[in-house]
Amino acid sequence: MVQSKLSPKLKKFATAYTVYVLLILFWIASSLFVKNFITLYNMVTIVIVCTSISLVSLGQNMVILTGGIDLSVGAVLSLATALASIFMKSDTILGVAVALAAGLLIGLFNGLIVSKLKIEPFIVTLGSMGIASGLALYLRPAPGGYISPEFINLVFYSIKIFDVNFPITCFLILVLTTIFGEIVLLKRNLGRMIYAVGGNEQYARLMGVPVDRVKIICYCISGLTAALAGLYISAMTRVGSPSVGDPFTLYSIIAVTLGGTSIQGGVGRYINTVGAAIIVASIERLMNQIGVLGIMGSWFTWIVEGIFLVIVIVLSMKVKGK
Amino acid sequence: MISELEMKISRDLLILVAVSFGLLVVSELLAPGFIEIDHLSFILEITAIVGTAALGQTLVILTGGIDLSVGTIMYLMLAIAPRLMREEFLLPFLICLAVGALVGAVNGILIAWARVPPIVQTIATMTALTGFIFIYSGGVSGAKAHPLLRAMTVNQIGPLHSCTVIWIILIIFFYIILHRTTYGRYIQALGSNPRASYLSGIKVKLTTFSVYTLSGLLSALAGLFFYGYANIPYYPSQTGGLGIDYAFSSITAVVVGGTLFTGGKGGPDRTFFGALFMQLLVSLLVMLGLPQALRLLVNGAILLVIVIIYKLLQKSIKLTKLS
Repeated sequence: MVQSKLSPKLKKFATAYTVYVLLILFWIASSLFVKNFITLYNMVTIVIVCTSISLVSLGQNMVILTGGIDLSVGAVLSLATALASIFMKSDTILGVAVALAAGLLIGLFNGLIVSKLKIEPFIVTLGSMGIASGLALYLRPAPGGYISPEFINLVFYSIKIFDVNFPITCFLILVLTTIFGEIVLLKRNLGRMIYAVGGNEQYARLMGVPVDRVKIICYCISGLTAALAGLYISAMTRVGSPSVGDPFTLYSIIAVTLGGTSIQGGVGRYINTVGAAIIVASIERLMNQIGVLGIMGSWFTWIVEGIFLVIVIVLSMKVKGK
Repeated sequence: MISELEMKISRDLLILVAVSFGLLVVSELLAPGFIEIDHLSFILEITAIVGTAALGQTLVILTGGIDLSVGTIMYLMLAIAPRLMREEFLLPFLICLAVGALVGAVNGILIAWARVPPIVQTIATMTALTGFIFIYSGGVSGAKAHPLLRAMTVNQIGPLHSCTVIWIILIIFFYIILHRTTYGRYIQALGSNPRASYLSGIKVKLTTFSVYTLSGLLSALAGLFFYGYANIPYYPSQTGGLGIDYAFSSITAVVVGGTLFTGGKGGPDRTFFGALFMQLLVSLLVMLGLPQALRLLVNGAILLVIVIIYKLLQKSIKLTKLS
């Protein structure tokens, strides 16, 4: 009796959190093939990579939930590192503020054009991507600049646990971002409206949801989280760089879709996006650890990620079909 | 009503052509020597490379899809062509095209039958191919282009380079296919209303599959043009998403040409002008000595301005119809 009662519950849990099941399977498989994969050091490295992806993905997730897409996040990330590396010379807080303001401004710009002029988000954010990456390259033609040490120490404040430097703030950022995303999307009115807009925009409008405002807020959050990720990356690399953000546009879209959020909008949860970000970071870590492949190892990452993505999407389509 | 709309849309194609001419005149005034046969045919030669990929992109966008893997397929050619084209030319050339078509076919199968959203599928393909290209090539550039491939790309036929001629022939070919054959009508119908197309008996899945295969094939040709033009294959040290900038410029060319991003309206003729306009703009900015940063910025801004103009034109059409 207990068994039969438990198993549907377990099944429900497994379908709701497929990514985490996948993550655990991946970890088990990796530790079978590679010695010492599950170590504290590896986990710390995974958290450090995962935090940046999760931050960018939060905004991307909200935008995709409304049925849009934000291609400008990578460029905004680069722009934020460039601005921080310039303005932190005079004042740390000024650098942070300017970077965040730039992200917010580009997000606002995207949101206004997408919602008021009704132009496809893909095209709008492609245009603003060009503008943002052009600005980043203009302000900082080559990696360099100054990121204040106190800022770096704050973001990567770490304590020693078993001979491993454990970055507490970084871990905290990841946890807080996850909690924030979950609360906003599931427990707040804004979240409900986001799902409504993504589910069926016309119905949402008829029900009195301020569709335009919801979209603008989502794009603003996306610009803001991309800028936050930029600040985080600038603390990690200790410089401002015009192209450091380029891969993050893809990373964020991969994490969001791998996490089961529908690219058409309306369906998905941020906590699964975080799970997908952990998978992406784990694949990267694993490939770096397989020493035999040498430098080539990192390129395998992309193959594995691409194949993973297709498998998960096809599987989720099958599940939804039934 | 439809004919009226079509008339209005062809009016904005005229605007684009006029603006292109205006751009030419401005370029000549700012940088004398811009309108010389040699320079213009050089611009057309560069345009043909991305333009060929943009042609495939046009077909995909017409059905309401999108293909982000076109640039990666181009780089795939830079990886495999130098190793295949050692002595022979024709067979390796055909193999290269077949490989491109195969990658497109994989996209097509998963999009049409497994119903993976096009953007996700082509990102996955791009990601996986990026890894494959670097492992296969070892990041080392291969041999110089085969003399015949080089001839196929840069040799001049009259004032035009041969790749330009091939590109223009392909555009005319696909224009005829789109407007004079049932298959072409299927493609356009699919983009304007997939549900209605299915109900009216159009083979939706097969048509979807075919456009992605064609896009892969044309991207492979674009990649070979690229190889023939550059002569020495090289790989930028990009992390992830190799060739995404080419995918974006192909999409920009299609959209600037006035093909609706949601599908159904537009065609290769528009993409020709869209690609040419963007290349003219880049050339002008280079001639004015703008750094790459400002060129990126202007490119993005111009894309937005043009899309907004199209949108406003569309709105004015709707308003005049109502009144």
